[in-house]
Amino acid sequence: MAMNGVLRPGIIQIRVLDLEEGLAHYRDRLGLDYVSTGDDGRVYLKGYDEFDRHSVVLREADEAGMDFFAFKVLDDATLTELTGKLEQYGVAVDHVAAGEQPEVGRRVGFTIPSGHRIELYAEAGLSDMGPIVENPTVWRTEPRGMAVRRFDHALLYGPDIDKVTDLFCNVLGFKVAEDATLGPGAVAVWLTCSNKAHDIAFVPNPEPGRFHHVAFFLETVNEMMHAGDVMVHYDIPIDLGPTRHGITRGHTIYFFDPSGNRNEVFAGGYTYYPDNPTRHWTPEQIGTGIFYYERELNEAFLSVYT
Amino acid sequence: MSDGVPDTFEVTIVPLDGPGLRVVQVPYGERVLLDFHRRGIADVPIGCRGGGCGVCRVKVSSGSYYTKKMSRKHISPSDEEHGIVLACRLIPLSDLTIQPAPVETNERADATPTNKETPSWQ
Repeated sequence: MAMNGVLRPGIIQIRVLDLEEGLAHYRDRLGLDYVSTGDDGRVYLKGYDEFDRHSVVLREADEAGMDFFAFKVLDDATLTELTGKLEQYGVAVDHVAAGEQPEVGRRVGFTIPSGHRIELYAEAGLSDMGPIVENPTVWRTEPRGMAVRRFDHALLYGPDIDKVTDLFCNVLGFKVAEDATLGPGAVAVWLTCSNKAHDIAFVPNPEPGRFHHVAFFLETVNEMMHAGDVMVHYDIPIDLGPTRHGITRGHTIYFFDPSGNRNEVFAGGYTYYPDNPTRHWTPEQIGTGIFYYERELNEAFLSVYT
Repeated sequence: MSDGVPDTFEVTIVPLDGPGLRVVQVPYGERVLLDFHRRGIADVPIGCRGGGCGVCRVKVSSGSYYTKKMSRKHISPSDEEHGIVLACRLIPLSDLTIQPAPVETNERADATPTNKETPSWQ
């Protein structure tokens, strides 16, 4: 078993301005399955191809954006080990008790230099709506809407990305799959803890804690075109796409949820192995890196985020 | 309309800089920025279209209106009292006059901190 330590993106908690509109978007349009509503009003959802109880949490708030991004780690011993490494590195960690989210074990949280809250956890209940494990057909019930399979990654905006990269790589065991020099001293990074081309990405920005997008996985470009059809039919604002990223090589559509949080449907992307060299992008080619066919950034890429 | 409510309201855009007013007939019940976008009018910047990113901040200097919920990060209670809203959430109830009001032009002491600083590398 080559993959250990931090396994994958596990849970993302997103702030929405209107819970009912948010639920309709993520359940009926993206096609996530509704799991439950907590006593505090938070709504729990999961992708049809995910085993764990939930992966997306919506919280109604006065501001859009992201509350936290939680990675699932191999087991509780790994969680303890990583907590020690974080403390040794000088990171102030806090502890969230098991059950703060239904069926999720204890979580360890900390704020990274870019201003985002990252959490680690090892245990989550298995969903009874997860993929079938005995003589499995490809789904339990035919998927809805854009038919997204699972939570894939997020792109976050904030300062001190070099320090963020150091923490993710030297404490949490991530690798830099790609980086892009945007200008003097400004390097964006695409980080992976797995075989995916990225599990989390950061772009330098003066203001801390900003949320650029959360991405959901589709297997093929055909599925992406179907997702685009859903967006047009339901008048969901499309930011850009369908197109391809040069970085990761994934196909993509950027669009917005009803609170203005950017979503992405993402398909493909290359397979990453930890012995792969980092791929670099220079300032002159950054347009091609971000939007491969357009070969330039759109205005919204740098200025529109929550 | 037979009940006396007009089909459209006249929205006058006062440019932040540069000459000339633009007058747009916005259909009853429509959000101002979405109507502009459909017509290809770019006098007010377009962002997330959901009240979250703040790039379409405008000041309404005359007329009555209501808004859908807007992110408090970009529109404070004081902003709302001063007619500062997000155009993507703005629905006219009469003819309106609006002017773009990006955060950096805001003269108030309690202005919402900008998140639209130009990054140093741009």
